[in-house]
Amino acid sequence: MSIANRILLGFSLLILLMAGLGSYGLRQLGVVRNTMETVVGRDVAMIRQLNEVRADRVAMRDARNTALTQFLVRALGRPVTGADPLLAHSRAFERTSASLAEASANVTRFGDQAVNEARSRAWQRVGQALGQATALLQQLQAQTDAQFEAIRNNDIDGAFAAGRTLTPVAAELDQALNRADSALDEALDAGQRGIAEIYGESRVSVLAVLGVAVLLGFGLALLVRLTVVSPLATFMEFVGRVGRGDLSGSAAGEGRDEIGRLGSTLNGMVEGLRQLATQSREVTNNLNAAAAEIRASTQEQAASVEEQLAAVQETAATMDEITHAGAQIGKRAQEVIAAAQATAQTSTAGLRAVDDTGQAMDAIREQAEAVAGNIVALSEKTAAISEIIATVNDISERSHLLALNAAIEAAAAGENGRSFAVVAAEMKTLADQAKDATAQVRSILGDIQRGINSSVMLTEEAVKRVAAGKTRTDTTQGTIQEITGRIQESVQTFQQIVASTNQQQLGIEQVMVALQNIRTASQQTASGTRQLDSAAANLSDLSQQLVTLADRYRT
Amino acid sequence: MVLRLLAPEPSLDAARAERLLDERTEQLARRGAPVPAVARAAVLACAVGRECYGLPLAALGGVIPAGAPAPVPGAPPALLGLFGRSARLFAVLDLGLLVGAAEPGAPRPETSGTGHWVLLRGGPRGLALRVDRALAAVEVSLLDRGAGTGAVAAHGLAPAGQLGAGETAVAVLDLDRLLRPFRGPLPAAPLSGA
Repeated sequence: MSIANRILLGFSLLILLMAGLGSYGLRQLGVVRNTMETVVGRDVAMIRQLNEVRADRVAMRDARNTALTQFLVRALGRPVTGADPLLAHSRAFERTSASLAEASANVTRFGDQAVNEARSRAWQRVGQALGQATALLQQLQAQTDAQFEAIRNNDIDGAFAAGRTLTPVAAELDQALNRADSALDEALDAGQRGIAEIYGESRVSVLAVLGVAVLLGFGLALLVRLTVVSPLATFMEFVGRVGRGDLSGSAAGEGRDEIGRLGSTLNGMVEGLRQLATQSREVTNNLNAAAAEIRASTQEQAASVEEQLAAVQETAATMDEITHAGAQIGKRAQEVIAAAQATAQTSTAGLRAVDDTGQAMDAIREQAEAVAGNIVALSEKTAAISEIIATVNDISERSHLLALNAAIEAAAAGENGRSFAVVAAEMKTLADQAKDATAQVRSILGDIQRGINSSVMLTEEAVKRVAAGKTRTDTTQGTIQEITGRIQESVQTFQQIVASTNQQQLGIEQVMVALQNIRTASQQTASGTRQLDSAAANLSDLSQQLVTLADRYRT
Repeated sequence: MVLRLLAPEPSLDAARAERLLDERTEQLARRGAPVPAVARAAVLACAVGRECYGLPLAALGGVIPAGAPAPVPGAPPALLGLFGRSARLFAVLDLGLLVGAAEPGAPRPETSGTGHWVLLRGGPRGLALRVDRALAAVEVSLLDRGAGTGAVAAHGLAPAGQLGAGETAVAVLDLDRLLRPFRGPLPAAPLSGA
């Protein structure tokens, strides 16, 4: 039987029990209500009737009193008005009697149908009291009639005497009525006690049935618990484990009833959870890795942006240095220009000095050339002397050869040439002398020529030196002019340098502006990267949390 | 610089005077001394390069200043050329090359006309020896006789003062041995000698 059927059965049993209990309770309630109705109704009726009796009795008394009063008034001689009290009294008496009779009848009936013994006795006492009241009423009526008779007879004393005898009877009537009241109260109390008893009884019985029903209910609950709650507890424990994250628990039992189907469904759900946990753990790990990569790349980007900023800083600093250096270059160039101009002035003075030197050298050269001219004249003369020397040399040589030939001929002539040998010897001597003289003259002339030559050479050397000096002076002049020209060129160049340095300054300023822009962009990039980094850090934390969450489910 | 035109340097003149006096003194000192019997030869001292060679005076015919010889094609290097004098044809030989005192390929001043040509007497044809300078006709005292195997016959010493400051060594040449290869008859012009 399926659990639903079992539960339905149990519930229906319980409902039946409850219905039975309810109906029993209602019945008991009905009983109590009926009893109470009876009691209350009877008592109320009786009270009403007693009140009627009393009212009628009061009306009787009033009528009697009125009659008496009227009598007295008539007795006083005053006119009376109003209704006839005797009639009212008789009517009241009739009513009272009727009421009393009815009450007695009711009491008798009530006593017969009393709810309980006490009440029956109470009704009897009420009946007794009513009987006494009836008797008394009759007595009273009789005495009242007597009084009325007296009144009609205009007997005042008789009226009064009758009245005096009436009063205790009326008092007793009243007491009887009171006794009836108290008996009625007793009946009321008895009725209340009876109702209470009935209520107690029905309560007891209802409680008993209730206890039985409770016991049955416990039994059913245990049954239901056995069949439903224990498996459900198992399932709950299983689901609790799953909820704590332990997906590795054993699968719930399966069966064909709802618990079994629930078990199979739970198994399916746990399997799905397991897969979900695995997948989510994988995904979370991937996410974590991706977040870490993003973090790393953002940090790299941040680092590179920092490097970029640092490079921009360095570049800006370098630009500053370049600017500074450019300013210094400009300053130095200005200084160099000033120095060059001073140098130009100095070279002008140098040129003048060189000019003076050149002129002096020209003068020297002219003098040297004059000297050279003299020496050349001397040299020409010496050349003439050389010719003479050549002639004398020739003479000497011929003499020498002549002497030799003479010696040879003398030797060839032999004995015959002995005297010729003397002549040859003399000729040789002459030749030798000529040779000596020639040698002397030649040496002297050689000296002269050497002297002239040396003078010529010295003069030429002097001229050459002067020329060289002039050349050097010209060279110096040219060099100085060249230097001056170069200096002018360098002045121009330096001015160009200054101009281009100024342009460079402009360019550097533009570069600085661009660097500023780059720096701003880099700072923006850096802040954006920081945001990205914080977002990546958030992502990383979230993924860490996801990992922690995913780790809740341990497969 | 002061030019001294006519005033000779006194130091040179005093040295020369000193030397001359010394030589004269030696000559006078030797004047009375017995002359040792030394073989003497009369030669013409000629300078060839740095050497001094002596040519026997008897074989010589004269000395003339060197000129420009007519070169002979196919001639040995010693044969400088041919020239004519006094209606005679002479062949000029270089003494330096003949005695081996100079290299054949060395630049010689023969074409410039310096030097002396020593004419030789005798022989089938006229020969002349080119020397750098014919110094003097001297009598040399022979140191060794016939020691040389080549052209140099002997070595002699010329007396001091003749050729130089001191005694000058002269290599006396044997003309026969020296000129034997050239004393043959000429192939073109047969010149019969006496």
